[in-house]
Amino acid sequence: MKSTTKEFRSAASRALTDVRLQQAHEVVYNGFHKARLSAAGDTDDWEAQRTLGKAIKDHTIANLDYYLDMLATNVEKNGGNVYFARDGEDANAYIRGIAAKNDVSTVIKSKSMVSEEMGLNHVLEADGIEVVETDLGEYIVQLAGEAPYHIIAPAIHKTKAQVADLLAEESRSERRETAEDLTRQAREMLREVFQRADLSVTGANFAVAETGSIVLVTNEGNGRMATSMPRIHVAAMGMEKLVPSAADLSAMLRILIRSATGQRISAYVTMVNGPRAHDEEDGPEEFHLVIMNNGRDRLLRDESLREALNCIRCGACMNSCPVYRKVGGHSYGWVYPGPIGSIVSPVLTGLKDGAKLPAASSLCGACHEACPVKINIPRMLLELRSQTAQGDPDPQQRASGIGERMTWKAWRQGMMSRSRFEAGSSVGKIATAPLKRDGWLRKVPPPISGWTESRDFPAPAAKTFGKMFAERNKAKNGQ
Amino acid sequence: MDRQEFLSNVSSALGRTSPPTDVGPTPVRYPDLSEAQIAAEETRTEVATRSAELLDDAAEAMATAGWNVHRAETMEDVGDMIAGICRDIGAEKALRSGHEVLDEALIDTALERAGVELRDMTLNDGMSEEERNAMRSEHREEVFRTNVGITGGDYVVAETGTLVIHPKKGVSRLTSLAPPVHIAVIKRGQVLPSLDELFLLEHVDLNSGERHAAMNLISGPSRTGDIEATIVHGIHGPVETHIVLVG
Repeated sequence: MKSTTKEFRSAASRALTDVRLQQAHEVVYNGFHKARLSAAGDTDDWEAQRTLGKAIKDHTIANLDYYLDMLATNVEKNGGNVYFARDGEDANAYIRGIAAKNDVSTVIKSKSMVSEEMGLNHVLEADGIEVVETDLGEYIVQLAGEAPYHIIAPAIHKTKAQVADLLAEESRSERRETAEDLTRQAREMLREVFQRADLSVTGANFAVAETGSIVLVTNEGNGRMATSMPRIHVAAMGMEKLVPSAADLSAMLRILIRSATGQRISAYVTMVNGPRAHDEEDGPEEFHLVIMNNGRDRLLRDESLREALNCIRCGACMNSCPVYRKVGGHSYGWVYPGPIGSIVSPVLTGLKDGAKLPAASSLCGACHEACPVKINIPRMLLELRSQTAQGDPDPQQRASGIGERMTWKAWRQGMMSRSRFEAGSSVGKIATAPLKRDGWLRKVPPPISGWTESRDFPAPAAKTFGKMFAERNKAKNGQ
Repeated sequence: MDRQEFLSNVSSALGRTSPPTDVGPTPVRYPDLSEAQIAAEETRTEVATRSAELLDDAAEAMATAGWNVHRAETMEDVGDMIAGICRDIGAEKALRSGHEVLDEALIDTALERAGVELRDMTLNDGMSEEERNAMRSEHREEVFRTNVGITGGDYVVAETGTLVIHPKKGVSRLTSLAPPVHIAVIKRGQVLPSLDELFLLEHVDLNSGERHAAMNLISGPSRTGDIEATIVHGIHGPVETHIVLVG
């Protein structure tokens, strides 16, 4: 997927004035966030479950090379194929190859964020292959020619009327009105596609190293359709999404599902251990697992950011984030929005473009509190801000300019001495006096104009606290 | 890209030249299979001794998960119960899995009496590959035309109200998925307390050389909230799910 993270600020400004989007964000907040809170409250030892989830992921990521090797060996033992992909281009080439070899004309997809990273749909479509998303939300955004808005609710920004138009146009049939009728209509449309699809591409919520399995979690059942109907099943995963053994799955599913939707369990959880048995009535004859790096090794290499690979993509950090709740999913400009996206996107796509994202946080800590595997997102956002300022030769991030560095140096000098601090305060007060309106500075000139571009700044008080304190003391002692 | 090259890069990112040979136990993993097997045996004993209580727990959790729950005292009641559900929804055609519990319940005769056409499309051992594929194609069409899919199951999980089915010969993946209504029959003694026991048993089975091509956990009807967050049943799977708990 092409990254537009560079345009975060302008995209966010547009979202802030879009009434419909603001309403959708409230739905996300009231639905998912509050459901998660009540699910966590209903769960005995929720904290212990989170601690366990973190321990499992910490252990897995610390031994990622060991478990990836084990996973690949066991998938092959089960009769599946494994491909290790350096990046999206590499992964796309492999899947194109399977499609070409098998004369595939229709591909169905069950929600996969990794395939969004790869931009797989466009690549297959360029080869003349029909690609259809089957998660209803993903299908709606695909018909609209957009990117998913939220990782759990991709089409939450679309109104019922917009969905009705999209489905009526695509099916060239009567326009339906209610959510029930629209769902029936989509069911019929998608069943027709399932019938003729030769290949399915799914993601993987988890992979299990010891048994060579992948696990799909859905409420709709498209994950089950994708692993029952087409002749070939390709699962694509980021290289971090595994757990050691099947015995670890219960703990991970519990925290994933409660954190994503607040349910005790989703309608469907499917564990796939390779192609179908020879005497089964249905199921795929071929199974492929694509394991993709795509810049994740940068997170792994940097011990201060490694924890980001613990993410199980539940969306809880987004739903709890006061910034996400205002600017919405598309503003972040790449596959993963919200707090975790502000770490993953800049590192995977390059700090140069994504530099604005780590700054789009008030560091309030709601994401850290919500995270089912206790990822300390605010700590990493600070780390990335610092890396952004220092510059990074790999993703071609230039260090901050000499002007900015000199300003901070002067600030530090000023703050270290009482006399310099007091002198600075007086200068500040005098310099800003002409700009003061009703106690606020609404617009200041460059080079500090950035401060007031998106908020007002309180004007310095007439008297400093130190001065006021001294005067009061004097008056008191004088009595 | 080459597997070794990929893995070497991961090792190097972790500050070493090759993967470690031993990483110790994971936080919940049973360090060796024999220990897990002992735990699995204990689970089986618990499931048998607490079967009545677990069945009650399952009934409650399954209702919460969106199942229509039916309790049958004995196996003799099951056939008529299923025929009754078929009558209520106006079903004309039903497709069944090869699960033995359906034979025990004599559903073939019960549905015949109720005037419902019931088909079992299990692949026969004596079939040639050509015949198998012909049956597969026919099954694939039939499963989208039929009104009801009827199956047994391997377990029910009381914690979550989940029916667990391993697809295998005679147990098609689509029979419990494609028809608008799914009816499943589970006996007392098949109810596990929680997901922990389910994945422990699966862990032991898969590591003891048993092969399950897949495992499906089903917790009520198919649902979506993708249109203005309104919950609607039956986007891809069944609109309605029924569980008959026997015993």
